[in-house]
Amino acid sequence: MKVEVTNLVKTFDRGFRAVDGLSFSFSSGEVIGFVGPNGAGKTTTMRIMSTLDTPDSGDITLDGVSVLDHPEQAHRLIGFMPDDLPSRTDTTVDEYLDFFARAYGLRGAAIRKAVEGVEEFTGLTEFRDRTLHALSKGMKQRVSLARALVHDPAVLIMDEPANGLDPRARIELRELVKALGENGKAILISSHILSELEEMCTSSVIIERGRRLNADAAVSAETWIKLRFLPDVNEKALPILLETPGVIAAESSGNGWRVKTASGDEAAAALAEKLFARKLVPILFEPEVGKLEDIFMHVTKGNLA
Amino acid sequence: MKLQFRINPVTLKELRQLVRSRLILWGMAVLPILLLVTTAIVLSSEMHDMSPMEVTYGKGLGGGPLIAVAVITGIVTCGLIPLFTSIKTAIETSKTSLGLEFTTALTSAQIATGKITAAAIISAIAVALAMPFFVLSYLMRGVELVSTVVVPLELFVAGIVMSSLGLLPACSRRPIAMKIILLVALYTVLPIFATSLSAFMTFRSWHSGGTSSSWSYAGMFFAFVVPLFTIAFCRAQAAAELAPPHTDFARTLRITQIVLFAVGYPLIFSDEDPCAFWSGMWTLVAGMIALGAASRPLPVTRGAVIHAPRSWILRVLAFPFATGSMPSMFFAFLLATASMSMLVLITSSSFDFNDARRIIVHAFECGALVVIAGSIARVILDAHPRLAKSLGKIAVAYIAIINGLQLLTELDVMDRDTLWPFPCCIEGARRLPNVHLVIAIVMVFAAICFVMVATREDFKRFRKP
Repeated sequence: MKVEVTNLVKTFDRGFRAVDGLSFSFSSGEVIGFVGPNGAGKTTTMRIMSTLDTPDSGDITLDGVSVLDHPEQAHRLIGFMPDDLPSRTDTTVDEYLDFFARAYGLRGAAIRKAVEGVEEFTGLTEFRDRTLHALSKGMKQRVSLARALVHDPAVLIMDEPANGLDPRARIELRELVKALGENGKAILISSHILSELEEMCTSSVIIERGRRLNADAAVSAETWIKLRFLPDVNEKALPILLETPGVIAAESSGNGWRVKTASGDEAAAALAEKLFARKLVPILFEPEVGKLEDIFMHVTKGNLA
Repeated sequence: MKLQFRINPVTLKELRQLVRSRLILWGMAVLPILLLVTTAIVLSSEMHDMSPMEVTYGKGLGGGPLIAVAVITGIVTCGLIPLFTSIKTAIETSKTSLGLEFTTALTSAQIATGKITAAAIISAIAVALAMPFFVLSYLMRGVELVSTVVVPLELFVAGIVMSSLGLLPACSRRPIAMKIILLVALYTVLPIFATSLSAFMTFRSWHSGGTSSSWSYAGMFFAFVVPLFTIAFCRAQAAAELAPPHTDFARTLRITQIVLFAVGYPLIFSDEDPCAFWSGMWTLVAGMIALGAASRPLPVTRGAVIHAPRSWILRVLAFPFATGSMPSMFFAFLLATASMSMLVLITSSSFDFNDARRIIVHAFECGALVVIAGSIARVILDAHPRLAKSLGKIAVAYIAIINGLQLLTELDVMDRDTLWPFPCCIEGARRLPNVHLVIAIVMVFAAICFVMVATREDFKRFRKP
């Protein structure tokens, strides 16, 4: 399943352009982080992808089939997880999921199978008879995820799923998303917690003022590698680091060094080769380049693609 | 397939939620007790007022309990249940929790139907709880057997109507305060014209000792046709309000309007005054809504363009049905006229050509007027929104005045010969058929021209396969 967003434009009242020619694509098995400041157009884009809103122009296709032209087909293929869940005192988890299974057109034994399947996957089996009102925020997010998955969609769109979750719930959610990605679902996930996204996403799309930002420029512009040695060889490493081709600068960082290189992978490989040749084996060799937070901070200064 | 899988998912969900509502459960528990106590009090009161002779010879005592039971059941089915449904829906729409349902295979029409059906089932339960007391009133004599069947049925139908009406403000995209005001307005004004009146008429007919032979066509119309009209319209309007933007949200409303016109329009010319009056009212309301829809810029949806036939000729023919703006309304009137003529031909034992002609002439005049006004309003809307709205109001006012004057002439309150040549005047079409035929032809051609100008941009988009 390939999802393609092409030149999406959405203008609200008084000419406010929430999405401005946005284009990106992702495929099955990919988990895409959808990043941007507040008001960047993330939720609007996701709502359009879920057929809850219409763009002024542009298109979204699923394997070439337009979501806008054939919303009824898109409903079967897309699961949308919004950032909140209705808090009802008169609906249990099981009834809520049962309703959506029926609403997605499942019939007969397929309803129970689907509901029990998503309850088990999201760890809701023991909470199935609780009302939505009685659930914690983390559990509500699980219900919301289960609802989005109940018809087994090929594409999952998650709007701020980690919003308001405690650390444990975040880790559990991350594991669920990873599992879904490994199961071959194409996932688009937005969040303000960039470190969380970095751990579960295969790549990211950064937007600001409705337009996609050029993250590649940030990646190639600055490349940092974090190094740590045993204390007795730490000082000896500095001259070696500085004489390595491609290394621009090195600075002390705790018990080790942060090394700035001109380019990405090639410079890192050369540095590793040189250190091992001099028998200066690092106990930590971690490229900092491409960290989502760094890229985000760099590109959201107005560097439009 | 099992019944539970045939049920509308929204109905099932609503019923599950209602079962958990303490208000509903307590209400259902208290209702029979309340009916029992009330019946006992009314019976004892009636017996207290009777002479020993009347008691001995068994004068009918059922009338009083029947009224009491009907009033209490009516409060539940026509008041409390619709209010509960309306408030619940208003909260759902305000919190946008209905939005997720539109990412499923459900349509807005299914959602509206599901909510009305759930309210109908709860009303049926309330009426079923009251049924033993209706039967009791029959056993106490003084009431026709048919009354014990028709009065509960009326209350049930009226309950569905009120629930449907309650959905209108609840589903509208307005602030919650405005929804409450609209709800109060609907519940206080419309029942006078519709269901409460019909229930009252039915009840009065039988309670006063009437038999089924006194059950007139007008009564039947008020009792069942009017409620069905109202339910159908409310469902369509609620569906249009709820529908997400990617859908042709006015489609259900458009289809309903076509059907309502087709069925309702001939009744304007019925010999039964109440039928003519109410049907005229309804046509006026529908005409105003059609005018509003006609003047609203409602572009052809992407879905309509995609699913349109590839053949150019078929595409042209399909265009009016692909947009909710005035062309479809125009066709609605044409279809209504054709259907109406057929209906008159089939049902009228004393059909004559002149009757058919005046009916058609009047329909074309009304249709053309709405289309012209809507077209002008739409063209001007972008450039001069205020002016367009003013023109729309003037057109609506014109139709309202003509209908109002027409009503007065039919009730013999006034006799205005000068009114007859005005377009859309029913009596005018009867008195001056040739003049109105010319007026209708001119107006239809004018309407076509206006439509062509007003929708040229839509048509440009639609015509390319």
